Amino acid sequence: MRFLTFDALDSTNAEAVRQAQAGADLPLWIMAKSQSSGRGRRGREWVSESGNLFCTGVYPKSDNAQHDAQKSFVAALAIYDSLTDYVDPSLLNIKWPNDVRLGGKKVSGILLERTSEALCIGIGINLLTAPKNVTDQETACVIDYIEEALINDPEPILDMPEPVLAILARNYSQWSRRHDEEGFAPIRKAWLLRAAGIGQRVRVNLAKESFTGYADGLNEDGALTVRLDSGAYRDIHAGEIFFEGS
Amino acid sequence: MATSKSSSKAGAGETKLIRELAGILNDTDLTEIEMEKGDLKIRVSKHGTAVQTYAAPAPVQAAAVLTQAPETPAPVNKADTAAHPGAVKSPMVGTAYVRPSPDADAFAKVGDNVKEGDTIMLIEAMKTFNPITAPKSGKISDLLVEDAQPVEFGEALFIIT
Repeated sequence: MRFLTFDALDSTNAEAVRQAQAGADLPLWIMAKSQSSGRGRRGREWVSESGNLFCTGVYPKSDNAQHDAQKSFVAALAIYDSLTDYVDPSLLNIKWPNDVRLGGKKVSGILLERTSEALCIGIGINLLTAPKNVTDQETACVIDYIEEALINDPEPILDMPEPVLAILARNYSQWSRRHDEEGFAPIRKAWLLRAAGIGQRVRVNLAKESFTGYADGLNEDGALTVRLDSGAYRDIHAGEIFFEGS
Repeated sequence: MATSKSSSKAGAGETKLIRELAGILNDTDLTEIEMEKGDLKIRVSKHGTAVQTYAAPAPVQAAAVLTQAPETPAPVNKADTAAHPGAVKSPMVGTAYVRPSPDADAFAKVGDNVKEGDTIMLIEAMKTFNPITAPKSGKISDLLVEDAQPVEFGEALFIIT
């Protein structure tokens, strides 16, 4: 596995696409100390504050798009497990499909792009700063949840993003190998153990409609099953989930 | 979802249901019973054969076969466009987007000449975005999905000629 670190990039996902197009050896992890146009879902910006982690893993893609889409959950497990090195695991959970939350607030974001050359797993983790004025939900940063003694240590547990990336890349590769060898079942099970809000009332925002129901679980391919008030079930493959009353 | 795709093959429960409906038909003066339950639609008739269709994706296809004269030209439907040699299909279940972000221009319009490798739309599932590119250079002769429309695996997305 190779790591490429840049002082500044437009976005690590954009660089990942360029590297893959240029025929770089994979897997490769790209990190930027700052990025000027971090990407979020559907053209949204990922607010990239200095000291936070911005990286993209570039892996060979499989010939199965559905399998590759499940790497979304693999990435969430990798982030969750990496953060347990820093904070109390009981403060962490995952909101469908892949928002890792700390103290109930969004601490990371994942955006995968499957290009003709590679699968690019873009990951942002708020380590030192929680961006303000992010519209859809409250944000957290890791350092706010670390015991003070560990921060004030001559060798502080968390002062820069590189070591976090090393842990993250290792965790991603381990979970990803398991997914490739054993399929989605172990990923689904691990995800459900770490999931937030299963059984709770949720609002589902799709591009052109919005409705409420109860989050029932994860189906066999990773869609969120929502039980509607009519008693019918609906599988959500793409959309935003909000917990009602939170 | 899986059952709605299993076309005309009846499961054990459905076969039992058809038998029960046929029993009712024999016990009464009725000639035909139609029953709808969710996506499942069953019609049992004394004069025809038992017909079972599903509401999705083609609600009345099987029924139409019974009534339609063979010489009537079949209307152009999704199945025909999917069979078109220039049809590009979805690699996954998800949501199709014809523009990069809600406020942006569409990647391509009907009639546009595109180059091989140009992005024509995106399919999203679980926050994984798959650009769907033109498999060859040519003209977009049809776009078969709207922005933010849910799509099934193998559903035709656009036609390039």
